[in-house]
Amino acid sequence: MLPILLMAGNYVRMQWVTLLVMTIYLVGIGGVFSVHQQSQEVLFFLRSQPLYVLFISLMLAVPAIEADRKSRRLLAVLSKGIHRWQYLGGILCGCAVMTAIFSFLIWAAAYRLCIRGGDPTQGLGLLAAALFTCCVAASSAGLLYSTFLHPLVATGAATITLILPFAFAGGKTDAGSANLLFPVAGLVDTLVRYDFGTVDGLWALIVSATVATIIFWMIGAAIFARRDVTISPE
Amino acid sequence: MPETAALEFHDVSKQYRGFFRSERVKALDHFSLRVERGEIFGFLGPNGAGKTTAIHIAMGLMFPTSGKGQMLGAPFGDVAARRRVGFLGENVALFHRRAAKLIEFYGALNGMHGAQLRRQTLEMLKELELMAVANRNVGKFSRGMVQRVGLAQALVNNPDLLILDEPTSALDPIGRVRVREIIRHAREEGKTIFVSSHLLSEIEQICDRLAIVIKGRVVRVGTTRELLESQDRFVITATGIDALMFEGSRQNGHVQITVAAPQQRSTIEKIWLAGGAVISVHPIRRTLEDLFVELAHQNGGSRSEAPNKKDGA
Repeated sequence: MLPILLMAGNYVRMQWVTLLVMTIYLVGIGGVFSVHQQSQEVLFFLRSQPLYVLFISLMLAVPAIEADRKSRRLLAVLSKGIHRWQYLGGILCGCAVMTAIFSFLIWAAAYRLCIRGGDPTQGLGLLAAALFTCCVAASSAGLLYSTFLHPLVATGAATITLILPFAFAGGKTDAGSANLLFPVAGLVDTLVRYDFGTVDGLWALIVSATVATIIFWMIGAAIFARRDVTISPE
Repeated sequence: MPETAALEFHDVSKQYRGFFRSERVKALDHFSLRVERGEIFGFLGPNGAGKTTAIHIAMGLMFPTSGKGQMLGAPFGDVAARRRVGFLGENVALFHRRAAKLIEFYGALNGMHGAQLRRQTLEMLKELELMAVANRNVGKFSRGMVQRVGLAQALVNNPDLLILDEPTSALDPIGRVRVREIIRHAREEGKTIFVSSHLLSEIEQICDRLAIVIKGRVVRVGTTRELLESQDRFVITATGIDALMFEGSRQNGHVQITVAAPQQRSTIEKIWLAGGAVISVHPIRRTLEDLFVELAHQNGGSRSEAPNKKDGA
C-alpha cells in the first residue's frame, strides 16, 4: 500500500498547477453563478460543471504514463522495488484525490447556490459522491487505454467505452441496467435530466462505478505488466 | 553448489519492430553474459550496440523477445531483487522535488522507512556533496547536479548490485573522481558494480572485467589485463647490443625491440648470439581505445560514434 500512497502523493504534487487552476475555476464559477439566483441558472451549474470535471478526470489520467515515459522519469520509478500495478494504482489514487477535491467544490458551490436561491439541497451530497466515483472510473478507463495506446487514441477509446450506451441510443439512455454497466454514461444521463431533489439509483451508480474502476485498473495492470515501458535511446 | 551470478544473461535476443514497418531491428542477438558477485564489470560498445537494451531488460523495464536471465538469483524484473539493486539510467530524469525529499522518496519506494531511510539519505547527501543544495528543487539543478542526485537515489538503499549507465557523463572531473571512489568503495564492501560507459579511460581504471558488445552480441569478455595485453606483438628489452642492428630504439641505456609473436624466439636467440642479454619480454599493452576500435572495425560496428577516451566531448 505504501508505494501506491507514495506515487499518489507524488502525482498530486506534480499536478499542482492543474489542481490550482481547477480549484480557482470552480470557486470562481460558483461565485459567478451566485450573482444570479434563479433556479434555472443553478440547474445549469449543476448540469454543466460536473461534466467538465468528468472530462478533466479522464484527461488527468490519460497522459500520465506517457509523460513519465517520455521524460524518462518512469525508469527511476519502475527500477525500484514496486510492482507496475502499484505504479498505476498510485496514479489512480492521485487522480482520485484531485477529483475528490473537485467534486467537493462542486457540492459546496451547488449547496450554497441552492440555499441562496431557496432550492432543495436533498440529494446533492449523493450526487457529488456519484460524481466522484464516476470521475475515478473515468480516470481508470483512461489509464487502462493509455497503457497500450497513444494518449490521443486512448482518450477516444476511453470516451467511447465510458459513454457506449449513448452511441447505441442516439444520445438518449434509459436509466436501467445499461447505466449500471456504464456508470459514467448513467451519471451523465442523470445530470442532464437533473431537476433538484433526490435522484433514484445513485447508490447503484456509485457501486457500479467503484466496480468498474477496479476492473479497469486490473485489466490495465495486466496489460501494463507485459509492456516494454521504454524504448532504447540508442 | 556454485554461487549464483550477480547478473546473468542467457541467450537473450530483443527485436524492435516499428508500428507500421515490418522491418525488425535486432537490439540484442543471442546475448549471453555473466557478471560475478563482488566485481566491477565494465560494459562497452558503440552507440546502438544494445547496451542500454540489455540493462533495461535486466531491470525488467523491457522484456526479451527470447532468452532469459537472472539478477541476484531471481528472474529479470523480480520486485524483491530490484529492492537490492541500485540503478542509474542514462540521461537520468527525476521528479522535480527538493533533493533530500526526492532521495527519500526513491528510498521509500524500495521499502525503506523511518530512521534508517533518513540516515541513509543524509549519508548519500554527504557522500555526493549535495548537502548545500539538499532543500533546493531538483528541477533547478544543472545536469551534473541532477546526475549526482541520480547516483544518490541509486545508492540510498545500500544495494548489493549497482547498475550504472553512463554514471559520469555529465560530471566535472572532480565529480568523476568522486564517483570512481564511490564505485571502488562499494566494491570493497562486497557489492557488484555493472557500469556501462563511453569513457574508456575510466573503465580501464576501475573495472576488474569488461565486455565489449557490438551489434547486440558480446564480442570480447575478460579481465581488463587480459584484454589489453596483445599476444600478437612483444617488446624485448635487451642490453649489450647495437640498437641499429635490431631496428630497436635505445632508452635509458637499454635497447627496446618490438617484434611480432612468431619472431620472438629467433630475435632472442640473435641477441644472445650477438653477445647481448635479454632483460625482459613483455606483450604490448594496448589502450582500451585501441582494442575497442579494432573490435569495432572487425565486427562492422564502427561508425562515427566511437567512444571518447577521456570525456564525452
